Amino acid sequence: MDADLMLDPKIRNWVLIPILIIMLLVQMSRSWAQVLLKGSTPPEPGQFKQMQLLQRATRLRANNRLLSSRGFHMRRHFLVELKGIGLRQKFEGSAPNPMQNPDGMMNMMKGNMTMMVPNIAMMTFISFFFQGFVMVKVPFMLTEGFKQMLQRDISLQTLDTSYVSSLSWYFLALFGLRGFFSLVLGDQAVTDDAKIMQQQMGMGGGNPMQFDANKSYKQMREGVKHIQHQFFLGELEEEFMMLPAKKKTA
Amino acid sequence: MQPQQQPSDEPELFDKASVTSNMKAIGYIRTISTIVGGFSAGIFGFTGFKGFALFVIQYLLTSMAIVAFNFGGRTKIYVPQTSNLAFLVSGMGNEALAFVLYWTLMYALVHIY
Repeated sequence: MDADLMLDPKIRNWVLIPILIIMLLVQMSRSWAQVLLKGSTPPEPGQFKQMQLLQRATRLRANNRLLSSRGFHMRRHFLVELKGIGLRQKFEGSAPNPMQNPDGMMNMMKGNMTMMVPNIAMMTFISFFFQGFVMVKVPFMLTEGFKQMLQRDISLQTLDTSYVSSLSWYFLALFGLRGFFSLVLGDQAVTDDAKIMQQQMGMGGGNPMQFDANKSYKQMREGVKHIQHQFFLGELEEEFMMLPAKKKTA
Repeated sequence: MQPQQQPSDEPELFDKASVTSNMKAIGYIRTISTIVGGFSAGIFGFTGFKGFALFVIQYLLTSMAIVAFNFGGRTKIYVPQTSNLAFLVSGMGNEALAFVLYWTLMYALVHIY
């Protein structure tokens, strides 16, 4: 239990480093493949206009205290008061359900494919080729419970849990290289596996909503209607002289 | 690092693009220092507790250096809603697993093979 195992240097040359290199290459090709696959169907410009209007309303909600009373009411009037203008526009034929929309479905499938296929392929590949031997010793103590997970295919019962098999090296590298990728790939789309997996689990199956203009506009209308506006410079004299604030009427 | 505003005590308006680029720069710095820390832990042959202690120390030192030299001591105007102390330990979890990877890698290369 105490003696350090001596491992064959060939393992290092033919397993440790190749797995790292393969993961690096797969990740790079995946990010480039994503960039290539993205450019198939650009969203229609009409949608952008609608989304921009929503962003205007959001900014109003967030920053309304920087506007004077007149400025705020002008903007609110444009957004919610006049029929057929601003957030009261009606749109026809929105496609809320991506299941029925073949285009959106395809994009989603493509995204999922690029994500999951390499992971699964790598896992099978590695567990097939690199099984049955001890690969590396992690520098810290692990409990017995981990043994089953980390020493999947090694049949020695008494082997110190610190010695792990290649599959666990794969997982370690998978999670550890995320930071490295953001360094190397820079501003390109860095596919962060774990985050995306979390997102998908949170959304119950990874079903991104198609942009539904009518519904979002309605929600935003309610939000804008209920803004309490207070100009932050409005009571400047009182604040400066530290007098109690006057009561404002809405 | 670009300050977003001339602050009184707590700034009220943030330029999103600046905040994003700040966070990116901070991430780069932290990633690189994690690599250096992990490699040194492996090469020195630290095991168990000593290695993790090295991780914590290098992380804190790096964050302190960022606060002192880049932020000039005022984290609030570069990273929204983060006090100096909170910044020192923010994001540690992300880098921890990467540290283990580099540490294991170097340890294996130097001491086992």
